[in-house]
Amino acid sequence: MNSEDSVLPPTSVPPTSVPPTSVPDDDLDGHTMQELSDYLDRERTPFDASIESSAACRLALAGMTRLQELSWTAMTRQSALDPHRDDAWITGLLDTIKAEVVAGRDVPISHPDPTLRLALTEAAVRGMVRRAGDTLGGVIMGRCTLDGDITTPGEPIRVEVTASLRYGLGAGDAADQLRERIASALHRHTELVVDTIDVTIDDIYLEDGSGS
Amino acid sequence: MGEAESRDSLEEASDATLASRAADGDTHAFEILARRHGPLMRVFSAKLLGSDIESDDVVQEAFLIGWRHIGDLDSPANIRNWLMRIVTRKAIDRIRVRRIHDDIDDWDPPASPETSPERVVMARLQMDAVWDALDKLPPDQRRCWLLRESAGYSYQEIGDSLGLPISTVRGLLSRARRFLLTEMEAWR
Amino acid sequence: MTDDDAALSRSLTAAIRATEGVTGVFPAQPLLEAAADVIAARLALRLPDELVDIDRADSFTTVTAHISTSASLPAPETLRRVGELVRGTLVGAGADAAELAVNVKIRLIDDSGSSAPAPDLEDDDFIERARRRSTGVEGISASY
Repeated sequence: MNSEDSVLPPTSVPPTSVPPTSVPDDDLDGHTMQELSDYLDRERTPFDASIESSAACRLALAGMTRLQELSWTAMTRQSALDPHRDDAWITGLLDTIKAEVVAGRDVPISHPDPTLRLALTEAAVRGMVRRAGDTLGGVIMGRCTLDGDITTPGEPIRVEVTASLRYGLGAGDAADQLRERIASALHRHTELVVDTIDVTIDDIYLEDGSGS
Repeated sequence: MGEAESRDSLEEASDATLASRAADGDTHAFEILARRHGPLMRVFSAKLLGSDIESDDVVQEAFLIGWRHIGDLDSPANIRNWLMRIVTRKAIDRIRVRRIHDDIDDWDPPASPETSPERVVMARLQMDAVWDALDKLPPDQRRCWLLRESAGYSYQEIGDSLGLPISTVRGLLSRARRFLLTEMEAWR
Repeated sequence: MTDDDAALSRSLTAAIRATEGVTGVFPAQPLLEAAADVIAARLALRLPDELVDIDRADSFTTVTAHISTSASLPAPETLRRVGELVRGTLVGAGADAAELAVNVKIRLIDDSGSSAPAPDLEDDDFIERARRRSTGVEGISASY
């Protein structure tokens, strides 16, 4: 107990008085900070009886562990405090990535004038279907596939989607409503002839945002 | 379901869901990831670099690389750690470039860990004190510490990143820890 | 592109941007892949206002525009509006409609800022079904 007092810095020093003693570099009951640092990084294995029976060493180790925890907290706290300096970085980023999305096949839209060749990309249609599902409420869309020849007008196609459902909602009704919403959106934005819409609810999510 | 007001379930989605959607070409899902993890990446890279301005660039680069290589991600749930590693790598690249051009990192020698009344008032929260204390470290000590404690790098990885032998990494790390411990004990 | 065509591209880009239903204009021509790699993580360097592609081969002119549109208007409507705008501009500038092709493609439908299109059912139907559906479901039933 006495050795503990002689090694540790005082814990109740008034702010304006003597500066705290530095943690000794080489006299923590015969161990150095370097040793303790290595020991910490080895996750304190193999067990070192000499270190673990020294209050000074254990205090130093506890302090270093606390520092590790604090660093993460400090970082997340700083990032929360960070003023939204500007969103320019994200706008520029999004413009670039939007231009790099793989377009897929062309989904044509008719026009009486043959001069005009109008279309949506497959990526645009799949994205639109996903968003239709995301905005229904209680559903988070997963995969979306368009099967069949979407490039030829009039060809019946099949839509396959997967979705995650908020816990507590009935899957049967959800699938029905989702199917209707997707059919409606496709009818509004494309001229695709939709034969079937297969909906598979393959996951649930909790309202707090954690996954299944 | 059936609420009349507009809603976006995707905001509530897990990282894993968002990463899968992004891998499928969904830029909106990627945007949510960027807003979610960008601030942390920015704070960390700023600390590594010692500069706010470059940290924005480095974060942007990291997200671009993330978007282009998102198919490489084995486990979508790990996207945050994956992004952190990318941004760390990009920040280290910048540090290396500076060294090649012989830029001297700006730093002052560590101040002696005194407790002045001003600092007591200013840094009430211990966690803020860590963050401030890091700035007092010489850059290599700070970087070793950040890479070890915040990014979880092994000694070998730190050595490779900073171009230092492992023995030097160990020494820098223990010196950094000693200094920070002393600083922090001022607030106990 | 010639200087005249560059100017034409710029004015078409601006006109398309201002068209109802259009939320953005994409570059119609992708960056050269090689250049993209060299630039690595840098953002695309291209003139932001010259995004409509005008290609003249012999006497045939092909104009290409890639756009993003709002979900609040049906996509075909916006496409036709833009197509007719471009056609009208080119013909007005002296192009022969028989030697002209106008390609307009939607690469993204934005729902940000506007509510997603409502389903055909009345809201009352949704509320009624929600009431009838039990909220205490244990787990999820098999899929359909």
